[in-house]
Amino acid sequence: MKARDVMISPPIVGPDAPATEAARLLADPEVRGLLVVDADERLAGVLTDAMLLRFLLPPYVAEAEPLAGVLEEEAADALWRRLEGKRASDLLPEDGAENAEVNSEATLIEVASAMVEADVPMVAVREDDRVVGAITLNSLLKQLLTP
Amino acid sequence: MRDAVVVSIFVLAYTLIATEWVHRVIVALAGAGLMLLFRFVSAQDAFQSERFGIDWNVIFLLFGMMVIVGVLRHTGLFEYIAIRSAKRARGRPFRIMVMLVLITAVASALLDNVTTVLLVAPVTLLIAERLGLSPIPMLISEAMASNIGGTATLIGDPPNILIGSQGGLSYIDFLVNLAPLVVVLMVVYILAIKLMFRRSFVYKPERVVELMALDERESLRERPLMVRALVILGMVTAAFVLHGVLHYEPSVVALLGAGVLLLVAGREPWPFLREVEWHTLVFFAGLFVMVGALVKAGVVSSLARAAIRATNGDVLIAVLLLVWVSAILSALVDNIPYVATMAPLVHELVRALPGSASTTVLWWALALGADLGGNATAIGASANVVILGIAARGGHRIRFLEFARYGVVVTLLTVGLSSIYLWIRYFVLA
Repeated sequence: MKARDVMISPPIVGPDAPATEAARLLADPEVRGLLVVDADERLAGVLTDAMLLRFLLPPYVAEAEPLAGVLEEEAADALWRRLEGKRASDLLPEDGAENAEVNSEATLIEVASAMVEADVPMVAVREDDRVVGAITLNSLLKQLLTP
Repeated sequence: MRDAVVVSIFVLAYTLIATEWVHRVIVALAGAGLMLLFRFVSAQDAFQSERFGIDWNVIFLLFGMMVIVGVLRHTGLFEYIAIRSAKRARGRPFRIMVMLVLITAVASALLDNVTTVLLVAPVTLLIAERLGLSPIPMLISEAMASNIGGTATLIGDPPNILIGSQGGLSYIDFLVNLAPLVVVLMVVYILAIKLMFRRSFVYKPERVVELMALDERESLRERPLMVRALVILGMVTAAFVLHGVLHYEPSVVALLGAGVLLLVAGREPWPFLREVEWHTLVFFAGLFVMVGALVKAGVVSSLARAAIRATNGDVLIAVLLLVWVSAILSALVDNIPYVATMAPLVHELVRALPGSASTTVLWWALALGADLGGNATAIGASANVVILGIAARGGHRIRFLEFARYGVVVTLLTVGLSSIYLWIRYFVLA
């Protein structure tokens, strides 16, 4: 079985879409990731729920983990403000698009390896230079665990 | 011919490091590799000779301190002290800045500069955010405070570690000769930032409640580990100071401290070992081999003879020249490779110039010039580079010229005062 046989059609957003829209899509428990795709159907990156979470966290907490405890309970209520005025592509880590994609001809082992290597629950599937879909951790596991 | 090739490899490597066209670790490794390939130094020289090879005292002193700090970083102690000080200052911006600058300077003297700013910069972002202020003046002030504070001790700044090892100078030597000056410099420096940043000190009483809402005690989540780390750091510092009695090299003390701390931490060492900057250690090792080739070829001796002719053997002129040339060059290139190159040269000068007892002042001139010169630009010292990185990740870009505007003033002021200090203490009063 190849990547193309197990791929699904995840939500897609443009790089300039508001970050709040991407966040709203990701808040759905069924959605582990979005494809950020530009007008030429080229992949700008795979945006996962974990990436959104990392973006929401204030940068000083990411640099110095003990600071997480210092903030008061209500500080969590203001986290969404970090999305204001941001675009979907701002949420992607700088080296995002590098490993998070596979060719449509890739075997499931290659898909699994790409997922583990990039440590993401979703990879994009590419055919030539275009993005044609994605494979989520769930869809892959379901396939791999079927006897 | 041989000398020409050695010098060419060296100059090329230096250019690449200064311009950052190639990552400095790659340059240091490739440069050291070429020196070995052409047999300008032997493997014996590179790995086992003190004069022509890797100074393991420097490498292991750095390594040991990195591990100790790696543990300390997990304890939240710095976050606690910084927030507590800011709350004590009741949100008054200048008072907070003075507190943070003093914390940074003292911590930089006891630990490494880079580590200190890694600890203090994130909490600064938080405090500034709560007060509705730009964190940039505070971050710039902290970077410079770490370089000034680090000047005071043997382990405070990597150039000092190099100078201590190569010049055979002890922790006490640094404390006695440099720390008094650093105290004066800090006073002047605080007055200088008060003037330079006077427009940034906007007190917003309505924001203070947000600062007071922070609970600093929550950052201390690993109290038993913190107590152990502080006890070990205290013992390590005491052993540095007691070098004259105990006769253990600083590298041995730091290594022992790191080993014991990992042992009493009572858990897997991985999170702490991740804090070790392997790339810095490798950079040092490569540099030592390159400089070793330069020394072995006799280039350094020729340079030393030329320097003596140029100064007519006058130690005062040599000292002043060394302070200012070091300050200018350290502002333009990283001060670590600069001091690695200059250390053997100063070593020759100290031996060759008359009155060998008083010529140790040349080492202090090198240390002051290199440490304080690093303040002039954003790339002059590693602490500055780290601060800029943290600021940028926090969404605050500090431009090269913005840093230099303040950095050059502080450098001129501190290096000027240092020159006067060296002149009075080692020539007028000697």
